[in-house]
Amino acid sequence: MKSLPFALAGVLLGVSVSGALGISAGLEKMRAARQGWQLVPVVVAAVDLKAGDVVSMEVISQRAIPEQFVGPSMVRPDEASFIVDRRLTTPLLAGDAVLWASFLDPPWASAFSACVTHVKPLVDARATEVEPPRLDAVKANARSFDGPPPALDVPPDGRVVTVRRTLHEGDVLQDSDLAVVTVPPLLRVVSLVPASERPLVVGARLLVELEPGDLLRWQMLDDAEAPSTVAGCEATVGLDLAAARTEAARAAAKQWVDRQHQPKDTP
Amino acid sequence: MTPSPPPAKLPGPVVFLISFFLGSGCVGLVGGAAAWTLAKRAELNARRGWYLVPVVVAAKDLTPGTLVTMETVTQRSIPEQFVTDSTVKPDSVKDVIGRPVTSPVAAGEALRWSLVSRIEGFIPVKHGEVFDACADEVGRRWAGDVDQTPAAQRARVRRLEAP
Repeated sequence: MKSLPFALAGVLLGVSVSGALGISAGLEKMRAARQGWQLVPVVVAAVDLKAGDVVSMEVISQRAIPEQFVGPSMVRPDEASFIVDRRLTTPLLAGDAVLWASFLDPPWASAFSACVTHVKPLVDARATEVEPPRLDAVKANARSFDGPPPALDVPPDGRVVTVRRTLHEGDVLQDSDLAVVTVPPLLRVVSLVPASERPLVVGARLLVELEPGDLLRWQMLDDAEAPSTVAGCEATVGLDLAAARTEAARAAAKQWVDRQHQPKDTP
Repeated sequence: MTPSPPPAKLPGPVVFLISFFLGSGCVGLVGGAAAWTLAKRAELNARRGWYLVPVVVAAKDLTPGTLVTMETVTQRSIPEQFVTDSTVKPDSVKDVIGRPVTSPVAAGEALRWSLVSRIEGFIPVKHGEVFDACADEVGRRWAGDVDQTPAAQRARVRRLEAP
C-alpha cells in the first residue's frame, strides 16, 4: 500500500507528458498534411483571348487554387488593376492563369525569331555553295579503294585495340584515345584492329560514333587526308561544311544585329 | 513446512518510474494512432475535389533563351481544373525539347506553349550553328532589356504606362 502513491503519481505524470507531446505532434502532423493545400486566389481568363486583345474586368475572373500550384508568374487579384486595359501579347484560353508575361513582348524573343528567319536561309545557301565542290575535290583527291584493310590476320593472342573515351563521327584518332584489351577466342575476327597495328590507326578518321570500351574495327576508319570510302569523303566534307555553316551563321547574325542596332544609335 | 518469504517490495522511486513509463506508453500508443488517423483525414480533406493530372513543369528557374531539355523540365501533377490546351502535357514534351523559352519560368511552374519559341522549320538542335549565332548576338545586344525572373516581369508590367 505504501507504493500506491508512487504508482499513481507515475501514471499521472506519464499520461500528462505523453499526452502533451502527442497532441503537439498530432497538430504538427495535421498542419504538415494541409501544407500547400491552402487556397490562394489568382486571376484567370474567363473567356478565350487572342494576342492583341485588351483585358477588361469582364474577360477575367478569379479562381482559388492550392498555394503549392501558385507561382510568381501569376497575377493575383489584388494586382488585377495593373493588367486591366492592357493588351495581351500571347493568347490565353478560358481558365488559364493570367501571367505577367502575357503583357510583355520580350525583345529577346522577337529579335531571336527575326534573326533566325534571316540567318537560316543564308546558312543553308552557303552550305549548298560549299558542299558539292568540296565533295568533288575530296573525291578527286581520294585514293582508290584497294581491297580489304590491312587486317592481315586474326590476332592470335586476342589483344585488340579499343577506345578509351566517347568519340564522334569525323574525329581523328589520337594515341591517347586508344587502349588494348584481350578478347575471348569467339570474338577474334579479322575486322578487329590487332594491338600490333595500333600505330597505324593513329591519325585515321573515325566514321562512326564510339563509346568507351567499344572495339575498333577497320571498317570504322578511313584516311583523314585522302579518304578512300564514300563515308570517309562525307565525313571529311561534313566537317568542312559544319565549319562553313558556323562561320556563315556568325557573320549573318552579327550583320543582322548590327543593322537593328544602327537606327537607334544614329541621331 | 517452511513458510514462503513475503514478496520483496520495490522501492517507491522504482514503482514511480515503472508507472510513468507504463502510463506514457499506453497514451503514446493510443495518441499516435489517433494523430495518424487525424493527419490522414486532414490531408484527404485538403485534397478533396482536386483531381491531379501530370503536366510538364520547369525543373529549375529558366531564363529566356534557355533550351528546354530533359534536365531543365520535369513532370508534376497539378489540379486538372487548372490545365488547358495552353499547358504542355508530358506526351507532347518532344515538341518543346531543344527549343528555347522566351520568358522566365520559375521552378515548378507549368510550361505553356506560348512560353516556348517555335519558329516554323527551325529546330535548334538540328540547326545548332544558327541557334548559337543568333542566341549569342541577340543576347549580347538585348541583354539589358530581358527580364530574367517573373518578379522582374511583374515589376515591368506594373511600371507600364496606361495605354
